[in-house]
Amino acid sequence: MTGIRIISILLLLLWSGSARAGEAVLVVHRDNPVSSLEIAEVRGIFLGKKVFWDDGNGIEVLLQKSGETHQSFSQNTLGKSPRQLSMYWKRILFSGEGIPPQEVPGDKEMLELIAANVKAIGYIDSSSKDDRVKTISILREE
Amino acid sequence: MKFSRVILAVLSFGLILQGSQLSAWAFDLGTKMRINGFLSQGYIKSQDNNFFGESKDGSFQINEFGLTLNGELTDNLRVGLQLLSRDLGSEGNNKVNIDWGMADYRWRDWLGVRLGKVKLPIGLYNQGRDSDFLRPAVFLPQSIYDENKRNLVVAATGGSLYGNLSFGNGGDLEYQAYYGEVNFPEDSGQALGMRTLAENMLRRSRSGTKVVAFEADNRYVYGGSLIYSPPVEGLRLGVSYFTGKSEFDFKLKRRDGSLFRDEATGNNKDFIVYSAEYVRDKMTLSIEYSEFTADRMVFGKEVPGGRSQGGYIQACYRLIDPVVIYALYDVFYADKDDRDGSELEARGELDYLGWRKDFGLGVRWDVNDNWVLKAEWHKVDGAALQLPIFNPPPEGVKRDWYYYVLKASYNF
Repeated sequence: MTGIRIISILLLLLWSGSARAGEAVLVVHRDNPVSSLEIAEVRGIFLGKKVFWDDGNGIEVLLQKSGETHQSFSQNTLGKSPRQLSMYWKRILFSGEGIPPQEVPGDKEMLELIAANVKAIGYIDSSSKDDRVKTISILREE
Repeated sequence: MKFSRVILAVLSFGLILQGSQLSAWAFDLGTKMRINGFLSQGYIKSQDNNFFGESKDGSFQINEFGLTLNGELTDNLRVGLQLLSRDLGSEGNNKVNIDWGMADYRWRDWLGVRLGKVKLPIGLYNQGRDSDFLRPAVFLPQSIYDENKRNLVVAATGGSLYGNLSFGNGGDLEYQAYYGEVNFPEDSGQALGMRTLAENMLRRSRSGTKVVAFEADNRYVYGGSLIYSPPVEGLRLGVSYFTGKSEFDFKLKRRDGSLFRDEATGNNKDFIVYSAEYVRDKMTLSIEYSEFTADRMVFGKEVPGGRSQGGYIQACYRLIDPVVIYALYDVFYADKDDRDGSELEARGELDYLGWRKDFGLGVRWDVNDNWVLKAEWHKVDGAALQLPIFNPPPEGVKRDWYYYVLKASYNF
């Protein structure tokens, strides 16, 4: 299993080295000690099942409102279409189980909010990355 | 006319919201405070039987209006409230109630506590049952989400423990356990069902005694649910359990005019639901199975109920992105040991009060992120689940009947 993880990380590093437009990457605040997350953890975070970082701070999830990056992240990482993701959060909201994540219009706003909030996590198009934020690799054991 | 005014009000409110971008305004209150809401208005028409009110003549008495307030006070503490006004035939009549309202303290991912009025997790869909736009069909399958039992099972004042246990790549398990009391009104299906039962018993006894007044009081409900999401994309498996006890106080009048009190109790116990949902590409498949026991004691006499059984299969297919079509087959037996109703018949009742087999077809159109339109048609064999309440003598209740529903919903 560890071997698979290492290979996954290496592959991800290779991929992240050759950033392609239309590919969503996870981003957090530069001071966030986390550098990688299991795919199950990422889904847990963006579906409101995992709500705390390991240091006990609450996770502040940011979603993009629409667009290609959102489509790609929602479908490829969370395994839900944007419409299914929206319905998932509405179900949680209206049944009193929680509050949906804040939505932002695009990469620019996402970068600003993540850079200003050590507890936040979001995603941007890989071509929008800059050094105000830290990217996180996703470990997929598949 | 009252109903056309309701529709006009809903539509104009929707248009105002659309125009004023209320969702954006709500958001400006800050990320820690949210205001959301929904409105829906339907039209129901049935043939051969009334289904919730006077539906044979066509009825607009099917709507919900909700306003949801949420505030996140700290990383661990949230307070929230949902006001709900609804109408379904003779029930609800658009009185505003607190649908849920609670303080929610999340200590860890695996443990949180909610205190106040909490929604009850029964099956996969009970907690969202008042928000029409969350599901493809207008009515949830009645074998499990019987609208007549709604007030008993929808929410309870008390508390719940909940959390999520992650097994990494082995999936995760969501659990909830609750205890509380339900305040159900005298116009609820649950209360009306008991009143009808008591009146029928009095009529059969030929004593001439009549019900003058009636009070319903729930003593407790408790239960819980487990939902496992295995490492198979789109699959959820669940099991839930519910038990509740209610007391009913009757003021009765004898033939000679003298008044007296008597009581009835109703235990809805061991209500268990097994659930599976599988979402794959454009297809969603839901299957649920349930059993429950209704032990009733009316004026010192036990009323035979047996253990009921129900289940459904529903398939939804996304034709094009905003349009979903669906088919439902939903079956309920009032007593699983008397599926053909022969014991009912032996007691002088109609055998088809023992079952309800509902075949439905429908379409849902997500006009945009806020608006949803639905249309569905059902063919039903059988009259179980309190249908005689809406179809009293002399016309009475028929075995084969149909209904269709149109509904528009707005949420922000």
